[in-house]
Amino acid sequence: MADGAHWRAFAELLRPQRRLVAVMGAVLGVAGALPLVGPLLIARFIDAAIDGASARWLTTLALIYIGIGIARQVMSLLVAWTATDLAWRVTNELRSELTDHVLGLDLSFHRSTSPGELVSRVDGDVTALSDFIARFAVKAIAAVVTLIGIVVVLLFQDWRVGIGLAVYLTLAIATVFRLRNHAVDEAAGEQAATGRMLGEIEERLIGADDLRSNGGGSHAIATFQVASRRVLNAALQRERQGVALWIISNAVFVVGGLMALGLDVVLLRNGTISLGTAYLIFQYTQIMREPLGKLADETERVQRAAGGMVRTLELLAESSTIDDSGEATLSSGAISISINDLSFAYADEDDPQPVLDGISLELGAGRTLGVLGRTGSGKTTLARLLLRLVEPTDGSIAFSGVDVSKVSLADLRARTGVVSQDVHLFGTSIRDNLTLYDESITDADLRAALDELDLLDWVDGMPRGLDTTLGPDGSGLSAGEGQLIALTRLFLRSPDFVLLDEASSRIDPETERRVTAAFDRLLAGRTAIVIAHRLSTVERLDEVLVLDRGRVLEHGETSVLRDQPGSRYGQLLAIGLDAVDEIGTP
Amino acid sequence: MSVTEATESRDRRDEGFAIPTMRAGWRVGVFRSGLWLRSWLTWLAFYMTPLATGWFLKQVFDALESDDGVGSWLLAIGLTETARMVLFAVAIWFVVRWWVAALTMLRTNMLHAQTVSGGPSRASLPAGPAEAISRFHDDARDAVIWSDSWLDGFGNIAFGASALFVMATISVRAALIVLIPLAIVTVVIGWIRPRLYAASEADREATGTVNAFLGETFAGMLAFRLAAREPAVIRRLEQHTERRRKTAVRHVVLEQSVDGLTSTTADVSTGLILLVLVPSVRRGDISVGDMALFVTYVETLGNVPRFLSRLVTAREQAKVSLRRMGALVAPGRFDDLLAARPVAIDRGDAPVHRDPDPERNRLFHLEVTGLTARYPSTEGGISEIDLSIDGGEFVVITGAVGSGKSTLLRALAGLVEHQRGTIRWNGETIDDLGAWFVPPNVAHLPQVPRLFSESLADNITLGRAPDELDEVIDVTTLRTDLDEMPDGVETRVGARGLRLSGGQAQRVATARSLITRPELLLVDDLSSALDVETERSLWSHVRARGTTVLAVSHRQFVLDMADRVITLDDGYVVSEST
Repeated sequence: MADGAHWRAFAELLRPQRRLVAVMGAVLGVAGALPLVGPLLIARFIDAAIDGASARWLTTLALIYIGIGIARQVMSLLVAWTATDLAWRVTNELRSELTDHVLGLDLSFHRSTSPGELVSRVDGDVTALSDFIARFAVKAIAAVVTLIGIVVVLLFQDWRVGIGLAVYLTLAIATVFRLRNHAVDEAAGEQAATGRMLGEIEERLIGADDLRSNGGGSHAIATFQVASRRVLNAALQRERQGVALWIISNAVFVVGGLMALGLDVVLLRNGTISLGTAYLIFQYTQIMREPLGKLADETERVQRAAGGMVRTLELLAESSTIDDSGEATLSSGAISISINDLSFAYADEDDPQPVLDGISLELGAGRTLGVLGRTGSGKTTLARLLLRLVEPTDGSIAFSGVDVSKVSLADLRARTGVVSQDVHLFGTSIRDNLTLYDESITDADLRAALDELDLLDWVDGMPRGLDTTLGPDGSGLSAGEGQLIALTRLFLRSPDFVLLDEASSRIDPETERRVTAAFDRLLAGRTAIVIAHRLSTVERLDEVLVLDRGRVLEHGETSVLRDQPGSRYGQLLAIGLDAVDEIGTP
Repeated sequence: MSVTEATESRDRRDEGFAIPTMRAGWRVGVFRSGLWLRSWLTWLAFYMTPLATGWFLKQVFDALESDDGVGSWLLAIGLTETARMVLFAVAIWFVVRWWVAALTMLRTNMLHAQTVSGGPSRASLPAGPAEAISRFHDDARDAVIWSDSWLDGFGNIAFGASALFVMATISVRAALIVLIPLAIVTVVIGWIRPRLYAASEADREATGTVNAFLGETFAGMLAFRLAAREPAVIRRLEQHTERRRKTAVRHVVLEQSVDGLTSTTADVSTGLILLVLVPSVRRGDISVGDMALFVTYVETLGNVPRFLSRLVTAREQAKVSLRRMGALVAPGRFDDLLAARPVAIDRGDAPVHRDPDPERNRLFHLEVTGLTARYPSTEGGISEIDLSIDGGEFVVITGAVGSGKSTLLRALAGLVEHQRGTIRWNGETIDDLGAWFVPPNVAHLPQVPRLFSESLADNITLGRAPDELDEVIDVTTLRTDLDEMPDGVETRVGARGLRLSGGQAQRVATARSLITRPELLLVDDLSSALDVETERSLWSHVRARGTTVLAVSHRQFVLDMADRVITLDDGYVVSEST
């Protein structure tokens, strides 16, 4: 990545919020300049008092001073508010963009990247950016305004003083920043020691019964204290460094203050400056302390933000291998399917074995097909190809005569529907689980769909009906009930081609009855391919396809194959096992 | 829902005792009284230095005005500031050592209550181990912060009072007028603090929601993609992130209000001083040096409200934390949490060793009568168990799953409270089973033993002298496994022993139960750990030692070996055969 590309990308992010950025810039300018005013007022006050100015003028100066003090508080709140607001607005857009992008990436990407890792990239890395804006950038800008302001004001008072201070300031900044950059490692060391100590405690609590009945309690305490000793050493290590940093940066300012006072002596003797100005010079060396300290404390945020932005750009650079340049649309009504010499092999393996090897098939509009085959026969891959989750190595699939690679993905997704074996449920309401967060689906639509699938009493029987909330990752529903949710999801969208991966696990008879009924209603009038795990399912379908090691072993009308001597399907029926997965090598 | 209920009931139970917050703060402080006292003194001196700096600065400006003797005052400032830096380093050196020692004291006391075999201090865990960790970490820290806030609070109050006194010697008006902003800001910060705390909690919770939503969405991405519901997901995500933007803004603004008030207090105080001094200034009663002194003092005085309000907040949080930690020590024995148990973490601390095992009591006869231990919530447990075992006997318990076999062993080991029943060891009634049923009297080998992330040897000896280590390693056939490990018995077994296979872990735990040559061995099903041959030789070995055994087993050869077989059903003894 070109150096600085991440900062350019960062600036790009701010572009949509130009107006807010401008407002904030103005606020920051004022906020940075305000600390300069106080010492100036006191300097005027001193000089005015020595000159014997009127009480009225002195009172005015004092009142302005109070006003400035209050204004500073107000401005600091304004800065905090606008900056935080801006930071989160900008980064929330980035979060949405990233999430959308990640949802569109290939299956292989999702297989190699855990959801937890993705969360840390979409939220964690991006939060480093918003922290950078809200907590570092604004402070940095205000501090720079203050520091430049100090130099400028003093230049006007006496150019030699101004230049001298500028030189001193440069040295002070260089010293303070150089030192702070080292402080991070030691803090990490202390955290690690504490983490190990707490891990040990947790383990001892988990094994408390074993310790008790074997008289090991005092042993646990002795080893815990050894771990605590390490915590103390790490803490002392960190503090040693912290103290050294504090002392050095403090000394820089003490020396600065003393030098300013020494300069005052010289200039006052020359008669170049007034006593008020002498005070001003000294006080300005003191007010530099706060902005510089703040800046130095937060420099690590810059590194974290830069790292976050780099990783974010990397994530955005990941692209999908599914080509979505097709613009064709499918004609309305049920879809016919023709599969033509379809092959697939995983590209990322050294010795690609074809998972599917030259499959051809025709399925008329409105027909239903059951697919049988053992694990590894290519059923799942066939399903993924039909859904365009992966691209074929060779051959093609056409829906209603149009090659699917020419159809826009949006149209394809709108016309096809799938119920996978492991239905994903979410820790939210039943309603959200059914609509998949689509708020345009009304409760009335939802109830109508449920009623048609004969599932209304099932949902109404839940503690809070549609508002019933599932646990994390949808815990609280059985696998069979998950299938009911998935069937309803599908029914709500009314697709013209349906792909079902039947649940292979056993479900209770009542749910089984509901699933079968809902399933039959769903398939009526639609083209469907069912990856079947039970022979009883296939019996209700028009055609059967038996796959073996990526090839078609058998394909035909269910009613024909059932009675045809020597057919694989017929043999399976004869064995009488219902669950096909349990069958040995055919 | 159930989680909330559990939390509520726990909170209600915790309400049962009053928290002596002040006393706890004191006891945490004086746990290392020498370090604490030295921290007090150095921090006090540290907080007082601006008093001297301000006064010297006044002399400098007065000398500037009259044009003489500036150099010595500048030197005085330099020396004071140097002293201040030295004091800072010394104070940190004391306070960190006190701090970690105090944390270790609280943690040691909780760990003691949770792992001690018997006695009145023994306590059970109110919630899961993971939840308890926050009590060892955050709550212990909050209690120490409370004690620590006294140091800063005292230093600041002492500075404030002295500064006001010095200011009053120059101008009483100036000193008095400063009290107004100080009082107002103290009240305002006191008002903001709890809101700030609530806002930061809300912010954390909103972040948790965003993360949970994203995690689930990525895990179930296919569902959204295949249903073309990505836009709906993004809209929902935006609702969550929008909410978090609002909580974050509220949090930051409140945080900034507290932070900013320090300089605001100083600014407003300075302005007010200038205002009331106008007449004196015009009369020439107030010098430029006086004004420099006021400004310097007032800048530091601006910190006082923050430290005062911190005392209040620290007290509130300590109260909650002490209550939560109190739930980890025995009910009604809150002072166990503050006990001055030995802590050995610093140089000069006397090392802490494991306690010696209790004295061995030869077992001639064990008599159990009417032992009943039923779990309140479930059906399981044991009822009216009578057992009479002679020293050296080999008794096997068998029965279906859920018949109470494990509960019987656990009740004897004192791990399950029993409601009724008497246990006599050589005729002597044992009241505190937990304290008595430990090695070398008794060892208990549970069905699922737990290991710890220390060396294999330590897992077996639990800190005892390794006299019999070799023998138990041979008996449990660990020798061949050890030969393949890089560091032999010193091999570290990883968190919870996860680097070992299931069978290895079981055998390590078996070795642990044998190493003290206990009088009575309570064994809950060895079959998953050992093959038939090894188990057979192990039992012969144990029998040869004359150890009395009460073992749960289903293996036929074990039943054949037994002197007696007791069959349990639904918690009752249904048959006994020899």
